[in-house]
Amino acid sequence: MIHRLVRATRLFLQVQYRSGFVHVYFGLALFTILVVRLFVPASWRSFLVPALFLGEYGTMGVFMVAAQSYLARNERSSLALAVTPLRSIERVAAMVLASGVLAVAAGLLVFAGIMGIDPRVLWLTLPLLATTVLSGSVGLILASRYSEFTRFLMGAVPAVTFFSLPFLSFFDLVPRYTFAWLPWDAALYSFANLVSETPQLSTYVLLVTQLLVFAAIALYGAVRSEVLD
Amino acid sequence: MIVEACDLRFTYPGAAKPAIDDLGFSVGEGEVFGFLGPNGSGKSTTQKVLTKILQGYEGRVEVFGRDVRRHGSDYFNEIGVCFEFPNLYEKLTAEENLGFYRDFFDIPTDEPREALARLDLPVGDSRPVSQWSKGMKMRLTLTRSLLNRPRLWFLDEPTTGQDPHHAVMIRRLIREKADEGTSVFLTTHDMTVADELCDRVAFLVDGHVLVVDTPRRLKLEHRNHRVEVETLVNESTEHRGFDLSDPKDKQAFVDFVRDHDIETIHTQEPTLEDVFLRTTGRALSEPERPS
Repeated sequence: MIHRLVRATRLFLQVQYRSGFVHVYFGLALFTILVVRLFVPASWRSFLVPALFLGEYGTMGVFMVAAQSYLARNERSSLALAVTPLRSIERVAAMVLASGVLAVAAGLLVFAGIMGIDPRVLWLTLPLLATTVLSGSVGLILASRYSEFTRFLMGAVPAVTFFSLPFLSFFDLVPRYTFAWLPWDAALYSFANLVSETPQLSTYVLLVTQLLVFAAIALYGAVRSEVLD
Repeated sequence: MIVEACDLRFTYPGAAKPAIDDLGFSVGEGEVFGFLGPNGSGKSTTQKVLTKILQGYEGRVEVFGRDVRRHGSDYFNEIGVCFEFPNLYEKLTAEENLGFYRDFFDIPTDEPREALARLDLPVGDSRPVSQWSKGMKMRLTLTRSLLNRPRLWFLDEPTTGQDPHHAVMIRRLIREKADEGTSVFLTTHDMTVADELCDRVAFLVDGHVLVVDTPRRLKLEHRNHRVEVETLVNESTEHRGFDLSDPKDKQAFVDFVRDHDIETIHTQEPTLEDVFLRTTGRALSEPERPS
């Protein structure tokens, strides 16, 4: 299973590269570094970075994986993979993982670019990957409900807004645990924990576990709702 | 038998009536089995059930002596599927398409470069597939479906978009594979292809199989004995028809041929399309009926 998953992820990475997705991720990463370094005071950065990460890679995961799914639907290429020994869980997981690989690479670059080279950057890999798998799977579930990308956008924007409610607690507008039941809460606070001056390992483990459980549930939902034809 | 279907029925979610209903047929080893019918008759649905793309059907379908539902992912090592439309990664090159695809199989596969050359496709072309013509893309899809050297090959309208030269090449390849022992499940509404290639054909209309037989027997069953003769009389062409099942007409035909300068003689054998029309009351090219 692992070797097929790796091969399928390589395929989707290649497709993303040729479709310009890689350029979008890294172009945005460089733009973000530039803007933050030029216009955001250093004391604000550790507060801003978690929100930036969720805003960029959480939200982008939803739209980029959905865009990839619509591209595959237009080309009918998913149907071609459906008649190989590649299982549907492997197909869907590979699609979200390919986006995850790009998001992690771009995210690490942004972190290093803003916060400087720091060992914490490696701890960021898992929550960032889990966030992208979660968001990508949500993107696929939403994409399965709409036949056209423009209609998908109409449905995805309210959904993403709803998932973003934990920002309200993050910016102290509502009590801390009001939206703890929403998957992006775990993502946001795991990023916040990592960039804080005193990161807690137990908090990290708890939030990342929560995030991984949400990602697994969303991935299962994406497999169940996969559109082939 | 390689494929055996019995009382097969499939209804799309939300549809009022089944897309295929009580289908029964079998495909033998090395046989080219034609599944013929107009658009919307259920041909592609049947292929999708057999290739496990559509689940939730009723009835019994066995492939390689085992219920299709019970086949695991290794089932796909043994089948090749060429869909009606090209379904390629358009931004990748042909060799990348084949290279990534073959990686998913757990068995030895053909070399992409050799496979490309077999159907007259350019080797080493660095252009993405999106820049290829529809005919080339279709041949690439066909090539891809053979990479894993399947025992059962599903083909849906394989000569669509091909010029006559490449259409012949594809027909020859299908025959060659069948002679090597590959069973072919050919879905088409092209009667020339079916007539030339198929060992047996099934006529499918509105989700029902109406008849299964060899093209030759079907044509013989619906034959007539008329002969049309063209002669040149005073520099103008005259036509005359004879019914050879009538002894008097038969003698008249012999006398006529002896006494005239004959330009052409045509027997009036029905084509497979004529047989289809007579058997089903439907033309193959008629538009899809709403369900």
